[in-house]
Amino acid sequence: MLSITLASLRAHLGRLLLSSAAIVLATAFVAGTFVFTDAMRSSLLGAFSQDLGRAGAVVTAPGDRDMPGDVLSAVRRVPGVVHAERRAVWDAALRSGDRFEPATIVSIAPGSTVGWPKVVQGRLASRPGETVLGHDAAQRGGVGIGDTVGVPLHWEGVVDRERETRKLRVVGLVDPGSAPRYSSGAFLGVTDEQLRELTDEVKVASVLAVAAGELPPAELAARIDRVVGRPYVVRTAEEQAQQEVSSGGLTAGVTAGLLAFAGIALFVAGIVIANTFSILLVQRTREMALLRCVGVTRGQVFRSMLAESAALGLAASVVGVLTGFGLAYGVGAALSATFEGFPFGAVALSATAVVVPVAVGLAVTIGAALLPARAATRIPPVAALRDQGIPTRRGGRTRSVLAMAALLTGVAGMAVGTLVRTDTAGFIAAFAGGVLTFLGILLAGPALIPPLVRLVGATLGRWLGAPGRLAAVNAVRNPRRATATASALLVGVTLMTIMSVGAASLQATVTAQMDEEFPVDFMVRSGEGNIPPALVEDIRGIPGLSDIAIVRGTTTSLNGQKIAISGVDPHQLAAVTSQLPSICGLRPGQAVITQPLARTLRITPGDTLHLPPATHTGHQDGTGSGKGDQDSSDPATATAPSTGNQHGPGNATGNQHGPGNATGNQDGTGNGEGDRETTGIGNGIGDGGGQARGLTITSIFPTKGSAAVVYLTHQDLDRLYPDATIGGVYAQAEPDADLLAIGAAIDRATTGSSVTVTGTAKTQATYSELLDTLLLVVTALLAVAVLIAVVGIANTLALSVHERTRESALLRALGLTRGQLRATLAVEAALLAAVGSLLGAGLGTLFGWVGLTSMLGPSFGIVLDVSALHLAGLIAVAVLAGLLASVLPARRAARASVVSALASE
Amino acid sequence: MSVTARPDSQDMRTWAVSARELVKVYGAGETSVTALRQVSVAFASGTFTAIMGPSGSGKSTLMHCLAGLDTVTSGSVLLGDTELVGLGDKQMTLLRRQRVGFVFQAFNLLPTLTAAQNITLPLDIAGRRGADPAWRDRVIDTLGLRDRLGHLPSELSGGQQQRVACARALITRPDVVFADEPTGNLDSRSSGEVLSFLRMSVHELGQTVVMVTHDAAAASYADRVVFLRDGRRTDEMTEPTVERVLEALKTLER
Repeated sequence: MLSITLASLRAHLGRLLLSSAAIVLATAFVAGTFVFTDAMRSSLLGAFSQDLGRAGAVVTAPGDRDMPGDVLSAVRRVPGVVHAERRAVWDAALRSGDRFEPATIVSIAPGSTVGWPKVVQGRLASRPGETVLGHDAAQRGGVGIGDTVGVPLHWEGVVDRERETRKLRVVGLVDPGSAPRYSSGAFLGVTDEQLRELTDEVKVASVLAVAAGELPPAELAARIDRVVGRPYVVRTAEEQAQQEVSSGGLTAGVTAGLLAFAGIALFVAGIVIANTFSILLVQRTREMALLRCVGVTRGQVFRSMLAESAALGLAASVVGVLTGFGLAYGVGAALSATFEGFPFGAVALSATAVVVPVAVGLAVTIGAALLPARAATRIPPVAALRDQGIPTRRGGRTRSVLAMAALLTGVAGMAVGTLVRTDTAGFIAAFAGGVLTFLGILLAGPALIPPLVRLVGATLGRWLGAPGRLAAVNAVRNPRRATATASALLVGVTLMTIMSVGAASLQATVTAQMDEEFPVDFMVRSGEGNIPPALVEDIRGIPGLSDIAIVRGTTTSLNGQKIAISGVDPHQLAAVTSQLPSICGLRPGQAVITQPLARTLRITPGDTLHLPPATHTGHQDGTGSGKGDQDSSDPATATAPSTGNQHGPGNATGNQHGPGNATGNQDGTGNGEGDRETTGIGNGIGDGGGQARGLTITSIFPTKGSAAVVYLTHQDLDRLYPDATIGGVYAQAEPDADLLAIGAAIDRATTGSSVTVTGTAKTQATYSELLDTLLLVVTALLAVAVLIAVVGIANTLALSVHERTRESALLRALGLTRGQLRATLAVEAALLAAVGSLLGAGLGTLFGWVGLTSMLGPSFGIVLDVSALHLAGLIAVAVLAGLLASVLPARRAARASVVSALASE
Repeated sequence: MSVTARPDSQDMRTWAVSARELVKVYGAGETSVTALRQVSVAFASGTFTAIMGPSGSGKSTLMHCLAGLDTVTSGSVLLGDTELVGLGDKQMTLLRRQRVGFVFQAFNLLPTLTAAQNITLPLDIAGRRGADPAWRDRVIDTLGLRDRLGHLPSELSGGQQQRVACARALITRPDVVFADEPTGNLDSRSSGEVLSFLRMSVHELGQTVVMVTHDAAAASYADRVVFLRDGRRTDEMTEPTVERVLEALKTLER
């Protein structure tokens, strides 16, 4: 029987070759994943072990707690330890001159023999007040040996120059290597004593021990462990590095993510290969029946089919593993070449990377052959004498019942997850519901896909003439085959659409939320109101910006409430935003105030507001400085309703530290004289040296926050507050400008000055780049699944062409040209692809919306956005791929000689 | 009715299809097989001709060459006044589509199309919408297919299937209909039906039919029988009867 199996394999090799491509692709994905992540892991291992230098063993405290000094003393006494030191790490900031940057400060023992970091110039810090500096940070800041750097003692993400800064003298420049922990920001190395004087918030602390001579690390670690014991953990340097790589979760996450996509590819490959086996079985019905006629048992037929699939699966998996290795190295090399510092090193092939993909490929192929093999056993010997295929079983009641059950529970789950509950349980319900619905659709395929193909085919047939009509009929002449072929594509397209809809919706949601707030492309603002005019010119010079508006301002105090005065040039402002008509329409003598201020002052449009002089020369950008930095403990704003982190003009008082001088400059209250004057605040005249300080309020500016801002023109500002300084620069980008490039240019221009850069364009560009990158990566990974599905289309078509040899010959005899025959097959492939991708796009849109809504909740204000262009592109690519898949089978069909095809039995 | 055998001695316009010194060689070198050797034959419009000969005599090859299904090695084939030799595949295909009808022994119909769709398939392929309705009705009624139009081939008997094939061959009013063993798969009653219809299409609808057969009974329905042996024309007979044809075949195989 084995010889028959092998002979049959040989005979059908050509037909099997194409179908095995699906298995090759899927196993290549699995193998590639292992090789890729192995290489990444080994590279990370090297990086993580770098800072351990020559240390043989490492003691850590559980939960990253600090390390008491007596542990160090104990380790020092362990026999065989020649050097031990305590290492602590503090994430801090570095200030050199006007520049601030994040910094990692590490304690390094004077006279350390660990050998890390490498001293490039000078020496290690040996006493408090000294530090070594990472050479790249030194270069960036133009700092050399003997210079002084400052370390702010409090560092909470916002640089505060008003608080204490510790000065340290640079005594050496070092190279900390490529360990991820030190790769961002500046590197500083100080003595343990100095570090503990700076902070008591060390993040990671450990004791490093260097062994004498030949003592193996394992023995060293064991000896130390006997001394320090619980709760401290002692590891060899290698174990420590491995632990750090694993705890980072990076490689595990990448592996899990890639394997998930590999699983999808395998699933699709399973559909394709099962379909192929079914088709081949139909074509081999007579052969099977003949075998049964001559006495082959059902069991032998079954085993023969499985043996065939095993041989095919094994061969394809081995080819797949080799392909995967090649691909992984290619991708890894490309990534390291593109992204500097991408962790990718050479590794030996692990057993896992070979065994798992081969085993999985084998299992999927044999699994896919199970049902066709069972069907093969049902072929009666008499079929050898008839010219009919095995009677195709109808859809089966079990299948319909399962499909209905899955669909109903699935839809119910999604409904619960989106409409009823929006917590984690709701998301799980929605997710499970989505998976069930999708499985239900796949199960219901034979009832769903052929009618869809007929529908689309009827539409196309009207335009494409005979080839279109013939193709529409051919595509569904075997509903199961058509369903399996389209389903394979459905999987990939659905997932791609979910990603596309998710990304587009997230972006639309973010955009919608930002548009409600202060709609300016780029806003450069200073909490301290000291943007130098030179910086304004720098920003003006950035290409791609069409207009600039300068906001100048100061602060004052009114009725005990601190208010910000913001002077704008209405024409300039109108050029950078069309969303602020009230402020853009200001004229000299007029002012617009924010709603909270209007409420507390009981001002309505038409009233006159008298402005008091400036309280101090600390100048504020009246429109505030972004989210989160509103100091609500400031007495000046405490009375106003605060909603915390609103963007835009809502929070005018960010970073204010002025005293709440509530009454200092009030002459008295209640001395307003006109009925159009507001009561209680018409008090500035005495200070103002006789100038008219009254401005007519033209409009109230609605804002969500508590901002107390008065907007007026530059003319009035100069007249009332001659000391006002530049607090903000608003910029509008040209319509087609590269927002990311402009953002980067603004960031460069503002480096070193204490300003914040925000704005809708910047936020949108950042979001969209992040989402685009994510979408691109996911799409690329899912493309493998789609590619396999396209192989499936080519495969189905090739086998169908083989079946229809005589039919094609008849059509050619009746006058169908070669071109028309090719067109018929192309349309057939395109129809299957179109239906698969249309259904996928529809389902993906639904699932994407359900997923987002259940994840974030309907109250979050999700904006469902479908990138029609993206979806249309997806469908177009799928149809195009289907057309391409038809090329080879169609060529074969068209080349066949009419006479010999007619003669062939 | 003219049944003269010599194509060169008559006015060409009366011939529906004619061949002159036709040679067909399959393969090359030592393995080459000569299927037709200098065959000259002509078929007049409005006649029913049978081509007969033992297996391997070249009768099917002759039909394929005359019908533009196969290329010839040398010689000339005229369909009406169009020279087929030298035409490309596309021109040959268009010619078949417009001016030739076919009835094969088996597998004449597309299993996915109804009888009506199969009948109008050649028009459909050509992109012509709807035949001349009067002609279509006449063909369908002549062949007695009126109540079978909505059926799929699998729902029709073998004789009905061949009648659908005949209707399809006639629907374009071709210059000539080629029938390749049209009764080979049928019982004698169905055979008689189909052959009667072929003769009817010649004598009542004015069509031209060339039929390849090895069945003397089938050949007896024709106006004229042309005999082939070893790729050569040997003999011909007008107003054949079963007995005369069998006699001629015996002579041929001797």
